[in-house]
Amino acid sequence: MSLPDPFRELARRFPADRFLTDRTELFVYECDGLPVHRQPPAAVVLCETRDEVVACVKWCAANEVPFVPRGAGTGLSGGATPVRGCLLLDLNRMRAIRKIDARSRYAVVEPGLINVRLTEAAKPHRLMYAPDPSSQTACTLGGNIAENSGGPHCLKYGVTIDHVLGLEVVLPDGEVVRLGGPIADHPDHDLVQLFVGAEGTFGVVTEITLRLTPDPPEVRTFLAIFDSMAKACRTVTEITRSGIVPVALEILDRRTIEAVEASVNRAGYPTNAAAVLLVELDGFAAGMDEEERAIVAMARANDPIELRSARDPAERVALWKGRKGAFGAMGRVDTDLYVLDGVVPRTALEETLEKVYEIADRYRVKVSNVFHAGDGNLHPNISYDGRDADVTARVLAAGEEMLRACVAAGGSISGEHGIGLEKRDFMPLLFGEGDLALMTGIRDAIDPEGIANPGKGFPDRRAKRRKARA
Amino acid sequence: MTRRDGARVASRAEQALFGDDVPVAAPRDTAALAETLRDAVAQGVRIRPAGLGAHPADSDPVETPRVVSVAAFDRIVAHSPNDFTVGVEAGVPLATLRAELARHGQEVPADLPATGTIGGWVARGAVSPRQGRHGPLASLVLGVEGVRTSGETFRSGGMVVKNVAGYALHKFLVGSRGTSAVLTRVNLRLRQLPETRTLGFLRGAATELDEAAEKLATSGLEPVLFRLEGAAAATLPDERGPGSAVAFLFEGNRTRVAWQIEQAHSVLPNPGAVIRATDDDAAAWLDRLVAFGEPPENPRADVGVFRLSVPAAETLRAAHGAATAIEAREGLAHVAADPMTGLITIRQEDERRLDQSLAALRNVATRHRGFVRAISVPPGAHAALGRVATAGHELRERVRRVFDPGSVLS
Ligand SMILES: Cc1cc2nc3c(=O)[nH]c(=O)nc-3n(C[C@H](O)[C@H](O)[C@H](O)COP(=O)(O)OP(=O)(O)OC[C@H]3O[C@@H](n4cnc5c(N)ncnc54)[C@H](O)[C@@H]3O)c2cc1C
Repeated sequence: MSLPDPFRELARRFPADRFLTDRTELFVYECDGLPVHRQPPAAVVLCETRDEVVACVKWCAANEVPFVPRGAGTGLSGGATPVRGCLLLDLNRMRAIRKIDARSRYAVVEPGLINVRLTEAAKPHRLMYAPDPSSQTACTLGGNIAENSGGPHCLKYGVTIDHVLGLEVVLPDGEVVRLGGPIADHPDHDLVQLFVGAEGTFGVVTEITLRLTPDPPEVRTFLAIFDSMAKACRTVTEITRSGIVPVALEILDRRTIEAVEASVNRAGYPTNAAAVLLVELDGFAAGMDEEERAIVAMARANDPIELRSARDPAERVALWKGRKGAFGAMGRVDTDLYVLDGVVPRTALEETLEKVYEIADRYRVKVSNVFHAGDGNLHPNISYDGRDADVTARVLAAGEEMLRACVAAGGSISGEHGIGLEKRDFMPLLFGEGDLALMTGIRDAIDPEGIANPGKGFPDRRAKRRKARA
Repeated sequence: MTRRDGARVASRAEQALFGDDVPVAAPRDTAALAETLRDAVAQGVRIRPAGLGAHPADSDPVETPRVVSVAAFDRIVAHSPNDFTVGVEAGVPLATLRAELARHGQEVPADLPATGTIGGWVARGAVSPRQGRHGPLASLVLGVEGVRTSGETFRSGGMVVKNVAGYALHKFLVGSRGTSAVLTRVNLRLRQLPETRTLGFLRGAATELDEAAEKLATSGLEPVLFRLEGAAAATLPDERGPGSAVAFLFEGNRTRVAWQIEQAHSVLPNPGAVIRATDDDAAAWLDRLVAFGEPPENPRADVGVFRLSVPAAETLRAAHGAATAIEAREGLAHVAADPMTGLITIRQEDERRLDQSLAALRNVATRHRGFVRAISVPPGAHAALGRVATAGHELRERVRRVFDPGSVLS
């Protein structure tokens, strides 16, 4: 492919195997985990150091070329999808663990480090990195920061933002700033809190200081299998109301159960199961019996078909098998999977789920639900054939209506996957014009030229304006 | 006495804080607040937002021609006990919120000071003795609403416990000290009040106590833990007054608390700690510890309160460094140091040269890779303190100016 001239000048600064321009090499970068949007970048640089990131960003600023940072590309909202003519910065090679301070309980890492590697490295110190997206064996910590990712165990430990102490960021003009650090206080407004979840629109994160959490000495897991979703939701509400905070409270619905049972990850759920509730407690063994008894009593009061419990790691793996294999199993239902990410107050779970099923039926799409029930974070998953334009249109319309239902229930359009390209036009469901103007004003203050991952996170007013001018 | 436009005569407390002649506007609703802010911009006057006016000193000069009080925004608007969330207007007194939540067996898992409003507390970014266990204040804030100096209202976040839509302005504004916008509503995450709390403490020689504190900090237990010096030790319920001490508090389910106390005994030296197993003792100690770190009741008192933050491993060394630096200047330092978080509160009394203390503390902070700030100094001392440019200052200012382009808020 022929490159525009300025790109050639940049290409000369990198070995050929780290500056990709060939159509076939660019193919894998065309989208992230949301294949609805596709766009090849102009070029990809495999960055190895902060200084290389600085050089690329400065070059982009000088040449008015947009850049898109990318971790593992597992994002589900199109955050890492290239924009036309962009330079894509692949950060996977920046994966060093620079420091683990066990006494002060923090780690300093590069952004391309895969999430689970940090927990593995912290384990000998009896520590862990708590946020554990289900994609944790693939996704990078830089991506987690940009999306403010959650995970099944974030109910007790909090999401990514609650574990970030400091960041080094290459701003959109190439300036490097260090924000926060391994201390608990910060000078007035906390920029770290602003940069987490910014979806790459404020620049490229090149170093991260993360809080580490003590490895829990005891973990107990149990499953309550119900013949109705209502019973599972009611149990969740009762557990929440009791004040006991399990580390995970996850639900699989009937269609997910059927998909799991039809897959190689069969978990042996009963055929009449309509909802599987997975509860995990962790912490000190002392006092856990009481909590376990209380939770089991709450589940029993809702008339389960079956209760299962695990006391050792092997049994635990068996109970998690269905939950962990759920996405893979649903992926086999059809060629494509659209994973939604709405949030509702925890007391509104049951009624919102009913609406989700009703919407799916009305649009004639196949929806299954596997979700972080304890946080009210729903993941309606729509399986479909993306080659069929009519089906795809119905899937997108149903998805939008499901998110509207979450907002109507007092919730939000994203709990952990981010807005990206996918939901940017839904932002007005949550925010007024003034709110959006304030947020985009902040974005313009940090990125006046609009080159850092443009078009993501907010309705694309600049594009609209450009179109109007043309 | 309130006039129709919301302007009124300053209360006695406000006069003590801001001076006798300062005009106080107390708008009753968002529209009136917006108008007040727009007027200030038009007239080119500077504004200081205040709640009950309890803590405006907070390290910044109080040269303000006009105070805008949000005391009239005083409703708890949306408490959903089963969701463990609450939406509160910014002028709600902290004590009112605490009492309302306690009726439902709930709390904001942070130690609220006795005075002040929820908006003021969030704007100050106050730290809490239980921060090591429950996370910083920002982690409890789910959303905010506010008014910018343009008069435009804004919101960020929401009422749900997990939400990544839009930039997290609600977390960014924690600690903004009213210099970006006037907050009118805060949404918070709640917890069940702990089933029980037990306080333990130990007095003795400094080196032994340091060792005990470090052992507890690295024991794998989950204490609220403090190494206390001087007046900070007078917060303990043994009525022995100031001195040197280690205090630890466990909270949660009864069996787990009892087990942790047992474990704590096994790591502590003999003779062991005094245990106070009543919830009241523990709660009262937390209240006194919070008060120790707050600005003095009389804002003109000759007292400086500073907060040093270092990596947790450095806590005790930095705390000693701080005490030595201040005592070398003949001031008396009172210190509460949390070896779980590295947060150290230093209170200095009867000292006229607070500026020198702050300079000395800045050296200690640098040595231990930390950061120090003045929480409160008497009005006269402000000018001498100066400001240190911290990392990201210019960037922070760029963002702040999006909220308040004319720098009307001081
Ligand atoms: C099977 C599956 C399960 C998943 N489960 C979960 C889950 O449980 N919870 C959850 O929250 N998410 C989940 N996700 C979504 C996804 O894994 C997360 O959003 C993850 O954080 C993305 O990381 P990544 O490295 O793949 O980032 P990418 O997809 O490459 O990028 C995501 C965003 O981050 C930006 N970015 C990446 N690196 C940087 C950097 N260094 N500096 C600035 N910006 C950067 C990109 O521009 C983009 O906007 C799942 C995805 C899949 C496919």
